[in-house]
Amino acid sequence: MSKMEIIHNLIEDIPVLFVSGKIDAVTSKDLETALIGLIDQNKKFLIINMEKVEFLSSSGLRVLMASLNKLKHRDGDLLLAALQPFVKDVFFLTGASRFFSIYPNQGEAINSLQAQSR
Amino acid sequence: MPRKPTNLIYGVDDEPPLTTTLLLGFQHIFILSIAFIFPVVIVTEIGGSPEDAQNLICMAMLATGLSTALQAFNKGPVGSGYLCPLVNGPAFVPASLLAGKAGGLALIFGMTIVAGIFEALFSQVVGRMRKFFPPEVTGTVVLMVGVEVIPIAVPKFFGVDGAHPGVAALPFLVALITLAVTAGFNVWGKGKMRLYSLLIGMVAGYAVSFATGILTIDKARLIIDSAFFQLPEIGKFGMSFSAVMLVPFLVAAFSSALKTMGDLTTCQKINDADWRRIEMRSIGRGMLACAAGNITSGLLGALGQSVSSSNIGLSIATGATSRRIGYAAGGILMLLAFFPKLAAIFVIMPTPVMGASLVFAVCFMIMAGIQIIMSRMIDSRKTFVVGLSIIFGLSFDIVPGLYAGVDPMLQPLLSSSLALATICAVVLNVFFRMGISQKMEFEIDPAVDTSDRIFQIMEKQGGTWGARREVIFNAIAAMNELLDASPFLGLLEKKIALSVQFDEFNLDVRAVYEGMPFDIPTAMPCIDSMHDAEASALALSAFTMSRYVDRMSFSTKDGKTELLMHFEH
Repeated sequence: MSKMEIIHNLIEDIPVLFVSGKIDAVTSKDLETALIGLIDQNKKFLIINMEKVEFLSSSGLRVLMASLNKLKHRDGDLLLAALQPFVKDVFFLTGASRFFSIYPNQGEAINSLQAQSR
Repeated sequence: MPRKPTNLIYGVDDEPPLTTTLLLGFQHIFILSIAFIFPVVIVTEIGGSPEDAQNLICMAMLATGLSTALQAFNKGPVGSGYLCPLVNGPAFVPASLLAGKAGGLALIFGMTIVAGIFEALFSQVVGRMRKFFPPEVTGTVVLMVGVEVIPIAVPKFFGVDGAHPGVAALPFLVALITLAVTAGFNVWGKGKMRLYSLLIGMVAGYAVSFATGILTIDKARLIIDSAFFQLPEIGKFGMSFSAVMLVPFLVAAFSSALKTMGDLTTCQKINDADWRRIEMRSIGRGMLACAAGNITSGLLGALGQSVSSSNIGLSIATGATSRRIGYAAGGILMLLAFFPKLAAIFVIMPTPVMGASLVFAVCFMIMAGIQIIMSRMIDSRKTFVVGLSIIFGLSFDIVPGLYAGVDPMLQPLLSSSLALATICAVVLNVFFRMGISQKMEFEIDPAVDTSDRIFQIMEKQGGTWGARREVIFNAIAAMNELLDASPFLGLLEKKIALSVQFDEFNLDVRAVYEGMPFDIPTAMPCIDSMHDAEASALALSAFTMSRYVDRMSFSTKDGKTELLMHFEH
């Protein structure tokens, strides 16, 4: 069984999901549950720290895009931070990078959201 | 045409301005001139006169100048096309000593021609020997090319010699200042400052040497006392041959050829941002240039020559690899043979300055070797090839005299850490290749298996094959997309048979499953459809899969679909 772990954090009132492991057909369901849970709580802005994500298949990509779409319809956003090269390649190879705000680290993602809210 | 790496200021095909080219050529000659010590060593050992040594240095300038320029040619049958200067190198010192003691300088020169002819023949077959030189072998050779210079560089850096067995404070200080200035300009200098970092460091080293008395007025007088212009005496000592000397010289030529391979591999890598594997054609042409250099050496009356690893280190450090610099360095060297006054500037180079320059260049050679080794996936077979070769190679320097009892004919094979490590790497690579199948088959069960199983199998096999990491990752990702798509293809109750075939240029995956082919979208599915897995998951999987492969196709037979995925390696 693939291993993936999700840690929920609230940093400066912004929900941050710290995801680690492989996001494939099996584990993407857990990610979907976590994201839907936050969206259902009317969270408009979410950050996913992907520093420890080793692999992302299209199942995971689909979950991320579906969540982003929902948030965008509520004038929110899903920010991605600290992507490893191979995971970043998935976004650029498929062209999904044009939909997402991608930051080199979690701090810059948080700063960007704070700057928007000012 | 290869893509120029961003860290290069002047790539191999670039044309720097004339003044810059000449200055960079001079900078290379400073490093090359360190090897002028070898003719002096040989002549002293066989009881020759200082005039004989001077003649040998003069001929070395002519012969290596010609071959350095020849090596840079990228048109015609001779020359690798790279800036890869040649020196009267250490590879030929043991064989030359044997010949010199048996038959004087004439025998050295005659046998050097024989070595050159052997190298020329070897250059014609080396192209068919690629499988003997995978990246873990060539990387180890490049690494050891740098390591081999350490026993020469470090004593000079610390001022240690026969008369001073301990660290000498003043020479050490001069070496430290030279290295600090060179490294400082290399790391923090911009543009020209980085280009000339070694030249600046050496000028500082000469100045400090003069100020501290290491470079004495007496030594400096050599410049004044030398003639401004003098015609070199070509072929003064004649030549002779001996069958007894055949083995040591052929072994020296073979070691030199392998060193050429390692050095030219580094040249290929540093000049191509997308470097993947050794390109044998330019290696063969480069070896032929070395062979021509050795035949010229023998005819003129100089020692055997091989490529200078330290100069490649300098090219990496300064970011200047233009072949024009090779023409310049070669041309200047040949001219210096006619102008002894100018040549004397290099001859009087203070020992600590030599040490610091070599230490500086070695750093870059070692890193180049490590990068080549790590460009492929490493398993336990490759760990042994690399590890054992380095261990036994280093044993030559760490345990002096360990191989002293070996038959003199075989001594050249064991004459340096580089020769030992190279032979170990080539032999161990052949040995550990036994039992490696180029094809592998396995099954995945979409109801049970996850990405982990594909990762485990493919990473292990990728290591066994020594495949490029990124190609194996693309294959893993594409196979995973098939796994992701399987519920939407009705494969949850069925198995997918996979077979993977590898050679140095191709990785082919064949997947067979009971069911129909699927459409490959040419664009990403709409983001608005992503919330509905049934509507978007198969299309997104297929589209993502198509982005990882270089080519894919379907065929169907008896209700089974065969999906072929091709990856360039």
